[in-house]
Amino acid sequence: MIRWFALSILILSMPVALQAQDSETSVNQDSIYPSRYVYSTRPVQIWDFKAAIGGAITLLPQPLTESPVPAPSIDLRARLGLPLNFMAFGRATSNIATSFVQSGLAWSFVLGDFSAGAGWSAAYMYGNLTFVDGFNTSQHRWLNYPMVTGTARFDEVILTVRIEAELMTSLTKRIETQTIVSSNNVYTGSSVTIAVEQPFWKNTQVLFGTTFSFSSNPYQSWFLYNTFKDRLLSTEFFMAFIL
Amino acid sequence: MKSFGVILASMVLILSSCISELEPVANLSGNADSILAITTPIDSTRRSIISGVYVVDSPSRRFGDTVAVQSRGSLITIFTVKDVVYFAMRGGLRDDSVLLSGYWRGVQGPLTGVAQLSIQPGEGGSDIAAGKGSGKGLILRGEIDVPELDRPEPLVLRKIEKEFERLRGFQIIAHRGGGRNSERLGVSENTKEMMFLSPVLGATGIEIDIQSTKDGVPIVFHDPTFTSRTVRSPYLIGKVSNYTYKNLQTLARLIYGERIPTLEEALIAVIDKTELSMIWLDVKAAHLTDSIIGIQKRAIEHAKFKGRNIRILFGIPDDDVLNAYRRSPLKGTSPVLCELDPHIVRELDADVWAPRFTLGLQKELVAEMQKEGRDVYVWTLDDTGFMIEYLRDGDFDGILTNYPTLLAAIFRTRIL
Repeated sequence: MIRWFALSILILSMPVALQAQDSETSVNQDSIYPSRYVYSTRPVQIWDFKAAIGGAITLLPQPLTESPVPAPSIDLRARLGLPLNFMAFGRATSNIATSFVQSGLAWSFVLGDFSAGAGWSAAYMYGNLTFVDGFNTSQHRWLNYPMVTGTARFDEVILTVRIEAELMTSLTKRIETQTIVSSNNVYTGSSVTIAVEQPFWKNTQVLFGTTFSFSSNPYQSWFLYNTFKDRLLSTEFFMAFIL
Repeated sequence: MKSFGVILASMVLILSSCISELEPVANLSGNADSILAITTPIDSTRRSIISGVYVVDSPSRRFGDTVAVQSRGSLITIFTVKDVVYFAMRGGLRDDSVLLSGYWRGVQGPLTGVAQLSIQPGEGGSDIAAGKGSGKGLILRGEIDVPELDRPEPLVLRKIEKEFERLRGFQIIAHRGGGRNSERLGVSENTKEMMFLSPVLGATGIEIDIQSTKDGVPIVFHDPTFTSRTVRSPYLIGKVSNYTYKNLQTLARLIYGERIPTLEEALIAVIDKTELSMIWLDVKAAHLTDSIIGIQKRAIEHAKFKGRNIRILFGIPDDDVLNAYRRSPLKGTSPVLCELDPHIVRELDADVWAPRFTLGLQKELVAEMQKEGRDVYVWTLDDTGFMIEYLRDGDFDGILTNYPTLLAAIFRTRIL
């Protein structure tokens, strides 16, 4: 499935070589804030780099936690414009107990005030609770996120909707000297993110949004050793200032 | 246009107030009553012929390759590692056959279905009727309903050996009286009904939680406050300790409609109506320490009177209960389980040490504790991989779990 998805992205991106000149023009002409957003996959100038720093709070699935438990974290995001309407993007988020680093590529095209695209990212999660009394545990995972995305521009506001699937390719769990390793392509669930990027105050620009994730094994709750087969909802709120 | 973002943010916030709900599960019982009416109960000799490790001989690998079968009274249970399934089958002997009816359920998800199984005369039924043989080669054959299939699926199980037993004994301890509400077992956690179900799920012992009412009655309830997770009574909000026992009798209805039991009635019910051999009292009301120990001692006396071999342990999970226990005039007069550091376990001369599973196997400490005459139970272990490792590489005398079915399947079949 992963191979087919990668192949389809490659095929989709081929006509872009012919359109490259046009799309660069469209970026310059159509985008009022061509370099002031990080989450949207709307094409940007080549090598244009933008980052955002902020925070995120994830509400862990209630069937696991039995009461509302928020997991806050520091959140960094960045993106880099590449040739042929490609874009590299990345994210790093951590609350010490759980750290997550993600990077990927996306391609998109413009249709007036709208743009659409597809992409792929890989991520590494490291969880560690050895510093908490009663725990001698850690966990790490490799994850993949194929995604499709759409962006709409409303004057100064950019709305992005991103749909991602989550594939876990490797999971290692450790308690004291006991280690369990599993390495399968496991489809654990999907997520929908709705994000807004807009001017905030004076010259500042903000990104905020929510991710609704339906996963049978949400990485944010790794320490709860989820056993449910059901895909559970965890909601992540994020807000960042675009630098 | 900036207001667009604000409106959108509000919509997203409203949407995100949705709470993840687990899918409800049908409560099945099969055709057991009519089977029981036409069969005679299986006695203890014949039960041991049926119990054992079975391989799956039918084409479907829905339940994996190996399962554990246990026979107790009119109940035959089957436990699988794959998808953590239990079968609850009732029935008995009719001529030279064993007839069984019931249901199967995967406890980590919503899958369930009716099951009909039998042991035919030429496939071990005659030996069971005659009460002879080890049962090796015995075949349990029948059909199960599977939600996604239009027609029943055949199931054939063949006994290959007797079930595994540990020389020192081993406790499969079910959390919250048998299972949490999130397991959707059709009965509420920490109720008498759940405690009656726990042996069906594979448990040999249970852990129950003790809270206090406003008037100081020890009740079996987990959370300190009432929420929609535990109760369905709309007028019940706030702290459990704000309500008298009489209030709760009138107002409190648990998720599946049961009443909250007092500690005393729960203990008597387990002693009188189950074969469980251990109860771990997880005390969450330190100020009731004397009262709880008093009830524990009365229950132990009641068990002796009834000829029941059951261990009832006063649990010390934190410093509040520890301090209350140290001050209690009843200190040292009843069996104690301590979750705290080994030096406190030794100071109290606790009967059981119960460390958290996230501390690992702690082999040397476990061996020391056992040498001192204590048992060691580890809590709360639900992960299949770690369960296998803890059984294979560790030497615990019991494991507390939300999935006694999984632990029973791994322990009894010794799939390590």
